[in-house]
Amino acid sequence: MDLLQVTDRGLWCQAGDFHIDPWRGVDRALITHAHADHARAGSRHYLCSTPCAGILRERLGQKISVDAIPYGERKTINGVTVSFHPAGHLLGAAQIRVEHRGEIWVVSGDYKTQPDPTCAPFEPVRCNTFVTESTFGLPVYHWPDPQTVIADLHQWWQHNRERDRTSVVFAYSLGKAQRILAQLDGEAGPILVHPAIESLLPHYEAEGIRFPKTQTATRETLRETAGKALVIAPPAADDSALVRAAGDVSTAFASGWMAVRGMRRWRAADRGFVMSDHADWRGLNDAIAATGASRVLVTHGYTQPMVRWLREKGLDADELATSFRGEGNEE
Amino acid sequence: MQRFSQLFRELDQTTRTSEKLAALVRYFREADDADAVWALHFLLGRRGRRPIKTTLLRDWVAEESSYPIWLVEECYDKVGDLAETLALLLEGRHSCRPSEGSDPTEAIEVPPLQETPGGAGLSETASLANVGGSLGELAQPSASGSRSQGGCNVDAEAFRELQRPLTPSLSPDGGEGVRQDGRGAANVHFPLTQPISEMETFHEVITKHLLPLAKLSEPEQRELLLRTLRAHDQTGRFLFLKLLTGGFRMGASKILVIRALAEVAGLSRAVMEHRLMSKWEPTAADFRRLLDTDQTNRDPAQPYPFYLASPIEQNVDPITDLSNWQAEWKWDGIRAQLIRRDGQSILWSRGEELVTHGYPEIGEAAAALPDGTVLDGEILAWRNDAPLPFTDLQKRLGRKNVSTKIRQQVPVIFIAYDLLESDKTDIRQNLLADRRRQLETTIEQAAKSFQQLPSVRPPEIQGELFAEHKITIAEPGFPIRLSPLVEASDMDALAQRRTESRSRGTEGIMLKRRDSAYGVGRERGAWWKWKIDPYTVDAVLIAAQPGHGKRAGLFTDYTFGIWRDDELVSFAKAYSGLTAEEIREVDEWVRTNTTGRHGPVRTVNPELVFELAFEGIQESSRHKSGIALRFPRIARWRKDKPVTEADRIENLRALLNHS
Ligand SMILES: [Zn+2]
Ligand SMILES: [Zn+2]
Repeated sequence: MDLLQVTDRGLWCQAGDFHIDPWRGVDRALITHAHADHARAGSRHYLCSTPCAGILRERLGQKISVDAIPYGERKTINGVTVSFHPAGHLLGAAQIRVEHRGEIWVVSGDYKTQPDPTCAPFEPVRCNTFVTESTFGLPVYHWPDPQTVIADLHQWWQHNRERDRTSVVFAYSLGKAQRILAQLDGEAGPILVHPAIESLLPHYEAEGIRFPKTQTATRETLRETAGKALVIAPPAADDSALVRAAGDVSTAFASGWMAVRGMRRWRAADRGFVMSDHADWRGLNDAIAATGASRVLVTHGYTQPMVRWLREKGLDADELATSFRGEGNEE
Repeated sequence: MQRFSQLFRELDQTTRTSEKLAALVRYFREADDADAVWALHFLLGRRGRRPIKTTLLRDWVAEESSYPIWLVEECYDKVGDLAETLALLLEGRHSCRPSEGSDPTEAIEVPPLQETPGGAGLSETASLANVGGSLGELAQPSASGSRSQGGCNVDAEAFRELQRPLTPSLSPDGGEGVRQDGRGAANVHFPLTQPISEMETFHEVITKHLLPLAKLSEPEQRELLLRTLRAHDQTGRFLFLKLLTGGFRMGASKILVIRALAEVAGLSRAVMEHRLMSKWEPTAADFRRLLDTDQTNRDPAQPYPFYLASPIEQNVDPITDLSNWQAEWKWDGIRAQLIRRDGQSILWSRGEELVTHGYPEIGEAAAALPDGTVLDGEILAWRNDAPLPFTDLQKRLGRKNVSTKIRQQVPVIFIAYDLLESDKTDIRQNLLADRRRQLETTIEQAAKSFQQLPSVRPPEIQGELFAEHKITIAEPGFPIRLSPLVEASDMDALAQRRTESRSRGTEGIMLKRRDSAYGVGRERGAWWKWKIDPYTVDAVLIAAQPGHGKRAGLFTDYTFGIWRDDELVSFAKAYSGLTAEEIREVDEWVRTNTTGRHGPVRTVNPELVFELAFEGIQESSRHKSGIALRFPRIARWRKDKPVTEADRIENLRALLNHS
């Protein structure tokens, strides 16, 4: 019997009687991070990392019952030892280590190995079985240096200002948006953020993350700053009245999918900035190697090629059928 | 090469037509003629034979990147473009590493887990930097990035090899610079980031690296290709592979390229297009000739802008009194302008594309028109005084050489409905009623003089020669016809006549104001099209495959089934009609409802019902159902319909007999 197994509710630890990132309500849910496909409402008790708790409440409601423990601290649940370790995915994101009778499993949640000033860096944790995501599990995904990307973004913003055009970056509202914002030059021009992004900023600031000065993106502020501002908005805000209020705009998406030209053109944005909160092919392979795991369960994305690749490299790899969407809604 | 790369980036980084146009104009002004003419060649989508077989290209890149073929194919399936896939694979593979580390699999060879009693294997504060091996560099967010040359272990000998000029005398017997074993090159590890190609001009890259490939043996091809790829940076590699695999459009339409070139030359777009239709080679001399303004001022090929009709929507009825309106059938062919000037016949399609060569019988017949005549009308496949289905006309599309056989199989005519120039005079401002009278006279007289033109009679009866192909004789008579008027006393009577449209092979009725001038573009008011409604059918999604190009990586190409007894049989494919949001939703649904894989095609649970709109129906051996739809497209997603309520094949067959 595996230490963790997939049931119709999610990834379940029988020995400890808890679930990790369940997709239906359970009694006790351990949450890797606050993205919607991992943190769902309806469970009685939640356990997450300390920096995750505030965001989790923000997203699932203030009334939920949440316990939080610092990264690395052990907690025993029905004789099973659990701990949370930085996943580098976004603020509070954790890999969950589960240990029982000498066997160790690590559930990665989502992770990246690139630096990100808004969260603790990915920490490899040794284990027997590693449950890894594979959102970008193909060798065509290769991330450029994030600082180069941020420099490109500033250059694009300046290019637009010179043409009296508002710059609108579409980026996922939790994680990506803050990661970009934290690296923006507040002196370059006014920065406007969509309310869905703004509401999460206090949780970051509480963890000591600093942002440049921003304004809420409203019809009024957009009109006032038109031609100069950089606006960060969630992808769903595309074509919304809010963005139209900015007048002449240049649009961009910030996502790992932008590494592929067809995807960029399908999005019909002027620019695509290749910036992901998931590991690229190299990052996945390196992270898997670093765990020392002999068994790898792959979920979330291009699972089949990843499994085959790992098997050909001599690892005991399998697909783990979960309901994590992975194919980019949070990207 | 750098200037061309820059053009590519500029085109790729904007969706604005105005900026793309400006980038093209700048490029054509700044680039050397010898480079610009090659850029023009590729931008217009002209291509020669692929110098390297696609499968070989794929295999070599797989070897070079040391990924298994199946993984390369998996990537191609997701990316949707071969050149881009290969460029991305090489990029990920060859960015510099501090250690030799050319095999990512080595990262996986780690010692077995050593269990520390009661603790995690690594300290809680461990960062990737401490894990060693290939992980080390990832933890360094250094601005220099992982792609600078600094950390690279440049193999000096390999580098010299790289710098050695490519000998033009690459001889099949294994001359200087050619490795005979065909494997040697792959074993040499040197960085791919050395940008020696920046020194090379675009036409040098093409004439020294691309064109010679076609003449080489396979091992030599491999050698030259890999050497070229190694010598380029990422954009360069992508562009080179794009040029190699053909179909290079770079996000600028042909029309836009022609507009840019016309602007640079100070000529009209139509004249520039006409010039580009003439024979030119990618040489600097020919480029200068294309831009030359000393040639005659008024180009005989110059067409007028087309006037386009607006649709009559069901409830908004702009016409109540028919007395000032002229009604015609709405033909289902190719809108075109037929020009007879200076003893030349020129046929333009609506996209301002020259199609004279595709329909020689029309050009030949136009010799019977007086000089200085321009007709507006439609190209139709035609037999026995009735139009043939559009699918027949499609057999004539895009042909460069039109054989006698195809002329007999699919005879075409030009059906004229307006006269724009008569006796060398632009008469577009005259009233339609007057233009129509003149048009009738013009065609009548041309038909008479056509009978006296012995050389332009349609090909003689050659039925016996092609007996096995069941050839019927080409449509006899003058292939330039007059579009007849549809007589009706009032709108009700006209609505009645409109019901004949389908049986007459037309799309509905056109209404044109008798006292109007010939307009420009989509000016509303004088021309209306009153189309018959398309057919619809409720169909079940039974298979899907990923799209290419701008929809790469998403399941967007659907196959639909329809009920025959209690089984679903395929009968249509459709690619368009859904919103971006719906496309995502279906894509995700397909991924979780796959029942089988056949190459890129996935069969899915028959659960989703879509309403397809289409223009017609015909027998077909392509689909299991034995029928095929014309212009099928998704009208809407019928989330409200269970699969059992999808349509049955009998309903469609009934239409087949009807039309
Ligand atoms: Zn996530
Ligand atoms: Zn996720």
